[in-house]
Amino acid sequence: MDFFKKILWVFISLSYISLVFSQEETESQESDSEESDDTSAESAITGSVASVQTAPSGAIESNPLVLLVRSGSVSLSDALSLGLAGCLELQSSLGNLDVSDDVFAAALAVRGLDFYDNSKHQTALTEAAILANNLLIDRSISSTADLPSPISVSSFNQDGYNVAFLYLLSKYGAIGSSGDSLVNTILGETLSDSLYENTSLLSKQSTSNYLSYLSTFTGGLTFGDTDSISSVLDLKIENLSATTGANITIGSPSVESSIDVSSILTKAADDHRDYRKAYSIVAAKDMEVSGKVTFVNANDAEDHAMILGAADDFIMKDSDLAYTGSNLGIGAGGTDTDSMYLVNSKITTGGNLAVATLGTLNISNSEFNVGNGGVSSDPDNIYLIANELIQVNSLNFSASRLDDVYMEAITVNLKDVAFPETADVILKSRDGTLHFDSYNSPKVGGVNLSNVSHGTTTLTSDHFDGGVAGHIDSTIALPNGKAAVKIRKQY
Amino acid sequence: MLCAFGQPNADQVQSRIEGTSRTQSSLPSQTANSPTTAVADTAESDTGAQRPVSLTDGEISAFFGYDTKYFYRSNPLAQDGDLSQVETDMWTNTFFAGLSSVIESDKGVYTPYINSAYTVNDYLIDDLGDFNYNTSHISTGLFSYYGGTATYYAKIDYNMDKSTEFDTEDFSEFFPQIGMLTSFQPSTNFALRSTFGFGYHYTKITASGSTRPEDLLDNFEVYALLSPSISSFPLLETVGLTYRLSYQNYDNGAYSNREDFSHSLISKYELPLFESEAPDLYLYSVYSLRNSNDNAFDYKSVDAGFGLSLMARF
Repeated sequence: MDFFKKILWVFISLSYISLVFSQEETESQESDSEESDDTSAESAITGSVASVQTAPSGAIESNPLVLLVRSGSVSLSDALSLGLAGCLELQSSLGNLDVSDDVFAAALAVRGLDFYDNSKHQTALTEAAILANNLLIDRSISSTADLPSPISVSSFNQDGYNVAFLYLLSKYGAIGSSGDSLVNTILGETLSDSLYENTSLLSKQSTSNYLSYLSTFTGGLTFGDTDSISSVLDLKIENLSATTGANITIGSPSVESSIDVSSILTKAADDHRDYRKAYSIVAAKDMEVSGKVTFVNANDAEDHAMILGAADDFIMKDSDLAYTGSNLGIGAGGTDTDSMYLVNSKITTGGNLAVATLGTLNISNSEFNVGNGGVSSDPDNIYLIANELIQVNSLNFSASRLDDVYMEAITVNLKDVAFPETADVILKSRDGTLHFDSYNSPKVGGVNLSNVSHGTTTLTSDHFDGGVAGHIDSTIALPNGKAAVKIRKQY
Repeated sequence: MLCAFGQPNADQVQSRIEGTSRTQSSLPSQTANSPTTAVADTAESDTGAQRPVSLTDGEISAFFGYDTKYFYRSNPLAQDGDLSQVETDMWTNTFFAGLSSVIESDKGVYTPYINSAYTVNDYLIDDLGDFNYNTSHISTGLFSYYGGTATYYAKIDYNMDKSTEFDTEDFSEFFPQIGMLTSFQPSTNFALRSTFGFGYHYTKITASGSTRPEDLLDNFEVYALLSPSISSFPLLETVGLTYRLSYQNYDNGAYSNREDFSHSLISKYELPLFESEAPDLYLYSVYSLRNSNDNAFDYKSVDAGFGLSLMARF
């Protein structure tokens, strides 16, 4: 209706103006008839000031919201939803600081939270954006000197707006697709708090305090009742440290890189779980490992874990990754089919190896070599976990001192995999069913085996007891008499 | 009698230059709304030599007027991807005025001029209300004609976009440029009116970090406008078909390696409403395409609508 009113107004106005102008034109013609021939030329001149537009205006080309969309940091629909007013306010509060488009977009998204109040939270958000911008930069790590000082919870034990920072990390995509609800569940709507002062955090001093949130983070996957009370999962928060970045590249193709983490993951002062440590190199976007990379640690006691993690994709191709300490974890938070690739690669650890993704774990032509740290230590374990699918095409553990192999996903699909005869293998899928020679058309929800061997035996249906789904055991037994390969279903 | 495509012989041109009847020619026009665009309205003069501007007895021509457009725009935020994104209808209102004169010498005819415009640009869907802006435009320069078929120009445009909602000066620029208007007639059936020019956009936006300095949008631009005429196909001229091509090279901040090629196909069909030629209704359409070495800056868009111009001259 407004539109028609405007049009009506235009035509009424123009009718009046044109009447006036027509009279003027007539007078002009009377006074100087020669000029009437010049009208088209005058139109050409005036055309320069009212001509049609053939390119975006400067107002659009310089608009911060438009530039943000062009950077790929936010979708056009989200940008319009978040609004230009908020964008301009945020730009103004950040001043002339070099804030990346991705951090800016994440900060803008925090502004879009229902409980955001600019009068209360602007300072917190600005400080959080500055902090994020310092931590979330692209890094290339191929030597010890490339490692910045790690951050830990003590880094936030100062006045600061770290809760806003965590919300910003969530919007950045660094905490997975359920990041918002995870942060909200743990911290509440407390954007102006510092982590040090947040009562909810202060009461949670151990990683075990966060296990109840695991299913929120993963979208469902969590530990069973027995595992959830294991002391292995009880690590003091203050003993966690991390090096962060946006996209992180470790090593270079065809180049040997050595990165010493001995000063970070030092030997525990006491053989008690309160002294265990974990150090993570964490990419808020993607991580890529290439070439021969050795993380050196003189401490090969199983009192710590070294973790390489990416909030989105982890890619390892034509690489030889070794950790001379003890336990190594690799993780990817992406939920797509390309969330984790281990291709033509070898991973060697002194202790256990855990590889996990919230999407699909793709492994091809690779080798895992675990348990080579402490000479007198026990054999070690391999844990492979994916939310959706574990897809393996050619994997061996030939040089390992291997004990347990644990794989869990909705669907497990293995081809050309050789488990050593010492391996105690648990393969867990959604339905706990077992299928053979189905690699090219795997049964969703089941465990699919194609040319998979245990010791010298290539596994077929004849090597299993035909138990009910979720409780199928191999007839091949370990020296202790237990089944060597067990098919189980998820909780 | 001049030929259909307005190309006079040398005697005719010289006669015009030296004649007492100062008839009109055309000036190249710049889009008031676009700092990066130079759309010439190379209306053909009766001489074909594109000698600039008519004069009153006082040897000063002046004009002022009003132009309004209502149109559909398929991609108002100039985003890569589909032709239609956040499509909207728009309403623009322009108030303009200008002065020009003619100085004759033995060597040629010189036409200094100055004009200005103020445009109110309104997006008519609510989602884009915050993007409404007003544009101020000033252009001054000199057109020179030395005989033959070419007219040369040197001018400086100033453009400034101010947010309607936030009352902030979001963009401004000075755009000095030089160029040439000329015509080609390779056959009796075909002619091409053209404008060639180049210049440098000295811009200013709100700075935000080292990657987005206030001169982020500075660029060197070369442009050409081509308006074909085919005598056996008069519709082509009736719809005022013009093709515009430009190349822009950016220098600063995150745009230091950016290069754009832009193409536009413009048509304008005029429907005179009154006895005078000045106030007229017109239908127009513009198809624009930008191809950048960084795909983020690619876009394509269509404008289509109608407008009405009113003008008074002295």
